[in-house]
Amino acid sequence: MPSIVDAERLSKTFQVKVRDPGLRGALRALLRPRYRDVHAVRDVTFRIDPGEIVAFLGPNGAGKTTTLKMLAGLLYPTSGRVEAAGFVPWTGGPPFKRRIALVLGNRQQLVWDLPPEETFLLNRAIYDIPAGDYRERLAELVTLLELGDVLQKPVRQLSLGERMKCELVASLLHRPPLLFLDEPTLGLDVTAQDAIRRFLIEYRERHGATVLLTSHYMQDVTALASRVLMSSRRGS
Amino acid sequence: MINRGRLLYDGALEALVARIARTKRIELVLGGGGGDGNRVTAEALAAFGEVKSFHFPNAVLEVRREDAPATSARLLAALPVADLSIEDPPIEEVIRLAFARGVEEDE
Repeated sequence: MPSIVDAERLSKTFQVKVRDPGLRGALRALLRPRYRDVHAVRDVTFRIDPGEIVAFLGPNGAGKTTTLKMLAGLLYPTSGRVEAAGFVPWTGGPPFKRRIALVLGNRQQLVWDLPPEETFLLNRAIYDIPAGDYRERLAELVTLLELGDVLQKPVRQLSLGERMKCELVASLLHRPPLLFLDEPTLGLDVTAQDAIRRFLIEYRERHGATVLLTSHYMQDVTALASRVLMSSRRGS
Repeated sequence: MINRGRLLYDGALEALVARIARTKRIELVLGGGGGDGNRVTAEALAAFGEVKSFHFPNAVLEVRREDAPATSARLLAALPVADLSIEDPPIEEVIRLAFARGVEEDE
């Protein structure tokens, strides 16, 4: 079976401006900027088979989010090769984006002052989801995540757990076979974490999705992942 | 230069635990010993492995991974044991160790 994610010798180096403190430092940074290379991801190679749930572990700053962003096509790698869901992410365009979802635990796509359903409808239009499919999928996701009466409340009145659940709904309406989840349980209480975990297991069983997730909660890893990738902050 | 973002490990979680954690924890609940006189002592337990904690009747020993079955058998034979379980170290501890020490490749 061909891999659904194939990353080979992936590296990302950021150029970071070095700025000394104070007015003199500010002037010098403006006139004669100095840069420092930060190797966020170095020479990372891995494959993921369809249907796997893989946990990506590493301390803060180990390049997990950077890797996910490269896999999702938000960042270009400095060097290396990636194929995800049959596409090179940054040239795949809309057909690629229909095949993936990227959920970032510390960012949200829901519109703050509107009920989540408005965001769902927006995504329905963006992804061109037929009305029948939309209703069916929304009903399924709402049941699985026990969202019930949440859909009509403005997002700002939702709890963090309810917001995360709605983020998942918004990201899964187009039924992507490949999910990138960056800390989907960040900051949630134990019950909400557990609900998200049970949902991911159930969702994968129903639809066979492949999941690459990052988390600092070991319960996520032991409950979900058949395999772990670990990256380090210190180089050799 | 900041060096980071290298891949340390790729594989099953259980295999990582086996590679990083060289020890197992034997958790005991001691039984018997009505009077203080014939209670199991910390010294008696120390003969079987490193005593991580001991509050009668609960005790936790740490032993080398490969010794865990044999040591458990000796414990059961020698002491009044009401309950015994062999555990891996907590997964958080294993991950912390893996980040701190790195993961050695198989030879």
